[in-house]
Amino acid sequence: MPASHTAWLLEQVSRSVWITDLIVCGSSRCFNDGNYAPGNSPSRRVGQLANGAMTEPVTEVLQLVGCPECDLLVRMAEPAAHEVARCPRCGYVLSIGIAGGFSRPLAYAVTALMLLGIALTFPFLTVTATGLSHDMTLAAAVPELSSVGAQGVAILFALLALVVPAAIMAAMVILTGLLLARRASPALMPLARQLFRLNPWAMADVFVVGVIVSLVKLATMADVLIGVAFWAYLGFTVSSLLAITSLDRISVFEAIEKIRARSAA
Amino acid sequence: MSTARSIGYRVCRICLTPSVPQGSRCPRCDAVVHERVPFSVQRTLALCISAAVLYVPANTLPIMITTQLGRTTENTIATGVLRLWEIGSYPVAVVIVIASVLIPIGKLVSLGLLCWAVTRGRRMLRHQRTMLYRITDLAGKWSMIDVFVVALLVALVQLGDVAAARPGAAALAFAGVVIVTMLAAKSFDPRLIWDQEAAPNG
Repeated sequence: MPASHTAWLLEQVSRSVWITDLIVCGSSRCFNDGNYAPGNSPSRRVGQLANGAMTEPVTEVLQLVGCPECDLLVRMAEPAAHEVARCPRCGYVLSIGIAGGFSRPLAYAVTALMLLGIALTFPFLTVTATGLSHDMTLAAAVPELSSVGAQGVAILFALLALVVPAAIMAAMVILTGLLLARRASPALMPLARQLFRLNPWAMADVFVVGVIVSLVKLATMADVLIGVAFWAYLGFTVSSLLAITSLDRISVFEAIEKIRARSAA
Repeated sequence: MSTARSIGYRVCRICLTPSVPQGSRCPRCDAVVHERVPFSVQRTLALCISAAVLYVPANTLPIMITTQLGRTTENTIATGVLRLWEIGSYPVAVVIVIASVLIPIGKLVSLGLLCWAVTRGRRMLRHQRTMLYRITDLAGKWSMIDVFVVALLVALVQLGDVAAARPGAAALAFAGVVIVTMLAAKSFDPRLIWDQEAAPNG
């Protein structure tokens, strides 16, 4: 069991960091396993586990999806927990099976928002040089930057490192909350759409690396104290990453369809 | 193996559902859906050229201006890296070089290469091209490190007359380069790589 959890975690990380994916599954076996091709018998499927082993053939209901990177039509069965469904031609991950369904991304997203709250209000870094010291809080940094004349940079920082990641987490909380409660709402589809469209623009992780670089740059000329907010923001970044990688696109849209169908009936 | 295009269907990039073309929206998730991104190669190349143009001021104008005890120092991306190298922070200097030089130029070269390869219509190296596209798309946002470093240093180094920092014009220019290259990678349709299907002589 622990071995497959490690493999699953690696798969989760690699889903958001494709380079590790290349290392983990760069062989042509993942590209051309051919088991999801439409020509096969529609009711049999053989799955591929995250550790590379093949499962026993299982009779499953298949759904038709189109690969967004190579336009192949693939009949895909919903992956069970710790399984991954890939396009047989280009290896793009179409769907992953999450143990715990939507409650996992909900948990991660709520955690992320709480940590962000701490990160915004407590001091982030404190710089002391020649007796003068200056506190920096993430929330206060934006108006401070504007007053110094760096409005453009302030807006960029506010949007990319704060607003967009927070909005994605908030949208995920609402979306998964509604899906778990099976509540129909006209907001479901727009929420899901905007969530997946905003993902590439969340740069919390880039900001963390930027902080580390700045720390090194400052260390030579001043004393820098790392505040609570830095660790909270780091936790927020990790939690957001886990939340995004544990939300499966196809399952979300399937669940929305089911809720719509039920409320229409 | 059949593609969606060969049977006349369109695949939505948001919800991955194939659908018969009816109107401009996906019947399932109501996002705007195209069979292929319209004018993908032209848009990508245009955005790449804009990014290349923006890259010039991003590197020649100062990215940060620091005032220490009355003395003003202007730093461009390049001089910032040299300073880091001089004071011995080799890993950080390497990170900045990768994020501010290698990644943007690499993205522009990769996207240009992909556009050229797609218009040539050869079937060779499709997996490798797909990998190139994925790496390009993934690595794009990491160039923002430099902009965030400037934001942080300006926000932190406000110690009155002893030390104060301001961003230079290059900060916004470089942010522009990053955003435009991200848009360029988004406007490139990777399905074009796999479209050169039926030619029997490859």
